[in-house]
Amino acid sequence: MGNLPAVELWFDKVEIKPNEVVYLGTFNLSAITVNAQAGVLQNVFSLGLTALTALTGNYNYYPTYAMVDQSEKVRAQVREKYPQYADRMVTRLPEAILVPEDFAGACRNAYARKPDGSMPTPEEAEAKLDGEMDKAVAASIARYSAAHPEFKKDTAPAPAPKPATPP
Amino acid sequence: MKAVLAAAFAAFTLSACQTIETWPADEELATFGSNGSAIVIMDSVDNFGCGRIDLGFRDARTKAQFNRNLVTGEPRAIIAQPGVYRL
Repeated sequence: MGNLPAVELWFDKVEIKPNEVVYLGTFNLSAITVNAQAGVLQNVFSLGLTALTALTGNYNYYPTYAMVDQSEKVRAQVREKYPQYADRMVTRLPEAILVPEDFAGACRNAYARKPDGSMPTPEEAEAKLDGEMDKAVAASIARYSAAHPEFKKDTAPAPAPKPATPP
Repeated sequence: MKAVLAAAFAAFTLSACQTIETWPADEELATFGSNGSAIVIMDSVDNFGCGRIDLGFRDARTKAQFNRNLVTGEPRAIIAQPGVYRL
C-alpha cells in the first residue's frame, strides 16, 4: 500500500482490534547505495543503509524498509495532541519477513566482481539482480515460515528492484 | 514489471513530496468506536527521500484500506475498521 515499491513483500499482516488505540510502529525508509560512476561501477560497492544527505556523484539507490518500535516517543507525542488516548495506546508492529540485510546481500552478489576480476556493467548487475532478489526473498520467506508455522504466503514473488532517484 | 516499478518510483517521488495531511479532524475522531472502529497511529523516519512517506495498509479480506502521508518523526492517526491488514 502507499507508493513504496514492493513494500508488501517485506512485512507480515497485522491485526487491528475493535475499539483500540494501536500504534503500528515507526516505518523506516532507507536505501542501499551503489556507486556507479561513468556507466561503470567503481569501488565495487559502497553499500550502506545510510542517510543520503552526504552522498554526491553517480549512485544507484535501492530503498529498504524496516519497522521499529518507538512507543514511548510516540506516546508522548500522542499525549500532546490527544491526552485522553495516550494511555490507551497499545503497540503492535507487523513482523518483518524480508530484512535490509537480505536485500543488501542480493545487491552485493549482483554487483560483485566477475570471475575475471572485472566489474560488471550496470546493465549486467541489474540483470543479475533479478535472480539474486528471487533467491533472497525465497530464503527470507523460508526462514520466516520456519519460525512462524501459521504464516501463509499470499503475495507474488519479489520483483527485482530498480534503482530509484531520491526526491 | 520493471516498467511498473519505474512508474512506482516516479509516483513515490511526486506524491511523497506534495501531500501534507494532519492529525484527524475532530469530526473524524468523533467516529472512534462506532462499529468497533479503532484509532491507528502511524509514524515514519525517511532517510531516503524528502522526509515524507505515503504509507498505507489494506485488509486482504474486506479490501478496506487506509493511508496517511507521514512527515518524518511526526506520528499521525487515522480511524480504521478492525481487521487484518498488510502494508
